[in-house]
Amino acid sequence: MPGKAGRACRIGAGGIPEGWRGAMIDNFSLAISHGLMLLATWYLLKRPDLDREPSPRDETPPARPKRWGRGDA
Amino acid sequence: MRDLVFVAFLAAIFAAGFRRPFIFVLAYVYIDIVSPQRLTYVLLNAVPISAIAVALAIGAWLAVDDKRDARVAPRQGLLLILLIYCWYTTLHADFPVDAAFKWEWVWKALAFAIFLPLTLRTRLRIEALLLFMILSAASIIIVGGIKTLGSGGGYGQLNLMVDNNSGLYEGSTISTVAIAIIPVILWFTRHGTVFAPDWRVRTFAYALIFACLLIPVGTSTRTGLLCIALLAVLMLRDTRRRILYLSLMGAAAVAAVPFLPSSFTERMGTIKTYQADASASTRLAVWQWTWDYVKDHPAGGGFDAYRQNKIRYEKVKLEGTASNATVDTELEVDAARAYHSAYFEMLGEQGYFGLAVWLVIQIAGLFRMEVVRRRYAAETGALAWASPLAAALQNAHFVYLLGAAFIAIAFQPFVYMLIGAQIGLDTYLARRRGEMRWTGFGRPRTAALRGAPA
Repeated sequence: MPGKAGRACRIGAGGIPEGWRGAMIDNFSLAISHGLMLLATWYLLKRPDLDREPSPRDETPPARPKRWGRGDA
Repeated sequence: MRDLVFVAFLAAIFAAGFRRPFIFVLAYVYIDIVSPQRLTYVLLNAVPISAIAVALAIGAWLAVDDKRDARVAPRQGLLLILLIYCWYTTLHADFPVDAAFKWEWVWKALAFAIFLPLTLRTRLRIEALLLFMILSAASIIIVGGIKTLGSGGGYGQLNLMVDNNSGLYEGSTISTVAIAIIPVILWFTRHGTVFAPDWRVRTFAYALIFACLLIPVGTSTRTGLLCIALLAVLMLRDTRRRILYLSLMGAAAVAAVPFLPSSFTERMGTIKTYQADASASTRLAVWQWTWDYVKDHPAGGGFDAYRQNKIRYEKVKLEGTASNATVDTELEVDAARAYHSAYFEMLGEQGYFGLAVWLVIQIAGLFRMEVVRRRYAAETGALAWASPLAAALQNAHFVYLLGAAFIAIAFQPFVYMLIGAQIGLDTYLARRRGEMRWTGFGRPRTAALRGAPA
């Protein structure tokens, strides 16, 4: 992209409006920021911890009564 | 063509929102910062996308989000008080039509800041919010950075994609915000999880920080330069090798000077000779006017009260050499000059009470981040990210408060999102502490907590 912008700049001296280079920079910036936001959204969709984090308050199954000699604690 | 791309992007984000409702909040953040409707010519301008996004975000939160243990911080109460008070002053404003126009966007910024922390229930949500804020601002900052490299910019010269000077597209505002977000960008290079910190993330982050530093150069705003200096001092606190840091900063500053465009160095030179500068002199005169005005109107004049000011000030100019200087004073007369300071904006528009509430919201933010910063400083486990994030948000807030001394950005929505993120971090950590305490005892206290009003 910078290469293209540079070329546009050189030709620009020969008559291409200055606005073209500006528009290319705008589009480059919008593409990179929006592309990253889309990618972030995609990653967020795959993350269960977006909505819920494991908490000590989660319902845990009641502990089975331990027997002497068989404790797994 | 660009219109279609924006529509496709928004459609994808909204579609993702139907899978994960929190993404509607991110969609609103994006629309509020970037204002895609202002970057397009057709399609989006006809649809109230901002209203749709906020309706979906609040609707989804009410309908499906988990509201157990929802905590409300005192600062949300203060924001509500400020919102109601601003509504009251708008009803009694000196310029009802102009005040109503400003009220229209101010109330949305405040209401969203109150709502936002309620949705920030997980660490990933806080991170995602900050990521979207930074990437949205980046779409403006990258443009400004590249154009500054290309042309050198100049005060009021840098074209940031749109012609109207509002929101983050205004030169002084973007230069303050760009510097304020640098600590948060740095946080992502160490603690981000959406994009795991690797060489690609670091390269992008450092390039973006470079672009952020170029914004005050490109817009030739003196405020931005002061913000950079403040940030350099603030970051000294988190630096282990301070002598090395100071040497590098000094070397970078010296190395940068030859590359700075002359428009920038000339304008920065006026910081010292501010008396000869109309922009700085009018500020002092307007601040004096505001101070006198509020003595007669302690409740403020409502939004845009500055429109009634008529100021006279003397422009002092020193000419000649130091040994043979002549002092020229010119009398300048002006009217309806804007405040050029968030503090005086609050004082003039909302009076003593409004300014006091606003200041308490700001100072409480700095204080709470200091508490979090210290409390989790020694943390090395799952919450090792908390103290650095609090430090980053605190530094961002300090930079904003300095920038706000010279720009009327008391209600800048981006900053209220930052405050919302601070409150969200604070309430999230309070909830985590509650859970930790619970695990310390065998008896569950959740039954009582779950029954508590959300």
